Amino acid sequence: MKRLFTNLFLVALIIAPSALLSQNCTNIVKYCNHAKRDGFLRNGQSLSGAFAQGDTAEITVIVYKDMEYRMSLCSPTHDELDGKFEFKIVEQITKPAWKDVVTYETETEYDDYGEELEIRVEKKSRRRVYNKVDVVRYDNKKDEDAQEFVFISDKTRKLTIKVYIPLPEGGDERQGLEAETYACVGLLIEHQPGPTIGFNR
Amino acid sequence: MKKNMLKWNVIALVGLVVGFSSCGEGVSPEDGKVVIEENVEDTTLLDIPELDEDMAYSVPTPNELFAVIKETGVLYDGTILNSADNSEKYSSKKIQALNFGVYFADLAFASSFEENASILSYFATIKVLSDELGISNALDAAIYEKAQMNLESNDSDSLLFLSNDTYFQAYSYLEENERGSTLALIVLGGWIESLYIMTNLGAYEEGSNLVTRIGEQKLTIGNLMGFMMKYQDDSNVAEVMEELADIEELFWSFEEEEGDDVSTSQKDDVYVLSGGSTILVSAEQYDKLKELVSGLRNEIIEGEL
Repeated sequence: MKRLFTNLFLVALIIAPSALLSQNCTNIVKYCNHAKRDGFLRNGQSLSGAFAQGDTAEITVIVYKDMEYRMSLCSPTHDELDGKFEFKIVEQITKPAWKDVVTYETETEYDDYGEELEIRVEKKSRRRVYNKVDVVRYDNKKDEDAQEFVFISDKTRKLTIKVYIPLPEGGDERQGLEAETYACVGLLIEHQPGPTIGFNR
Repeated sequence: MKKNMLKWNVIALVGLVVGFSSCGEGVSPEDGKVVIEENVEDTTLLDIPELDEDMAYSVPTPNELFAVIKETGVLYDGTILNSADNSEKYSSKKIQALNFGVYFADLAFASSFEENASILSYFATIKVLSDELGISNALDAAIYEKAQMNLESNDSDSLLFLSNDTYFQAYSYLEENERGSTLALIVLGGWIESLYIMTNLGAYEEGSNLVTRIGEQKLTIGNLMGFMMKYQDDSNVAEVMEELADIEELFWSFEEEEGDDVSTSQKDDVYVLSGGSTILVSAEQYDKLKELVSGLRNEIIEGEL
């Protein structure tokens, strides 16, 4: 009997955190491996949430010039996802370009007899336009599926982090609609003052 | 906010219509003349923020901001902060939440500059306001004692961690308890106070580090609005968003100067993001921003909003 209670207790101990976490993913990011000992502080822009496996989550963050950042991902409820996240860091850049514009206008002229003539005039102009272009700054698939990204920036910028939550083993995208395929995912962002001169470490 | 966005959208639409209306007339240029106009700068569509409801928007904390500001070489000035004594004035939940954010920014500023006397005072004030807001359970009960111990042992790093942790404890508690509107007011209060402190740390100097950091807040206000949008059904949040409209519009008027092409390089294990544009702030814009921010901030700390 005592052994039965012990076993039940152990099972409960194993299941309980997972069950609790699956109900509420708030602040799940605190379970991610942090780099406090390297001097990093947890950044307020970290994200916790429940995401359907097979979906892509997007978050926009601000990173400051001369700060060093570390971004990493974890899923305490779905350990099997750890190490398998795909993520990209994208920056929207404003790119100037010249655009040829042709417009037509009607002008009035007079012929040799003083008669009014309507002349259609083609007007060509070049306009400076500013296009917004998404530039991929980092793609972990091109970095041996690295699960953390440490960087500094020479300017303050707005970045969008796109995280793909992998499907369960052998799953397909349709399963993403089912409740049991949701996973609690934490995007941990940490920061510390970076090298201020010349980006030399 | 909605009114503002609508206004900008209308401007954009009018720009588009004016730009393209004459292209579709179907008139043949046969027998006509060709006139070449000079190059024209077309900025009609520039800087109109597009907020996506499905996107998560994050706002940097005052702690992070002041770590950056400290590096600009400015000096600490405690006289510009909100007096801890003012906390007694705040009776409505809206004002309490806004000033909770204000005091967090003041604490972050004092912690970054290791101003010990102010740090203790702000920890105590935050504790009092957390009681009023019903979030004191979320905060470490011994927060004040811990702060005092760290001060006595001259451990400024631990104080910074403590100030950071206190922010997260409040933040997480409000999220967990679905009190996002209170959180939105705290975040806004913290940002306005941070901006107020920044604009009162030095006079305008074109291209200076401080002015550049202030200009960069143009990026943050976009995220702040995106974050608050989620909670704008709450009348308190909607009201303060409306109060923020003039400041938001002013930020949109800040021009951007083209820089080097963007590139990503790697040194050791650290990536370096380079290039891109720089946000410019004129002396007039700086003065206007200072005036608008002071006005809103004073309404908040006087409990008149």
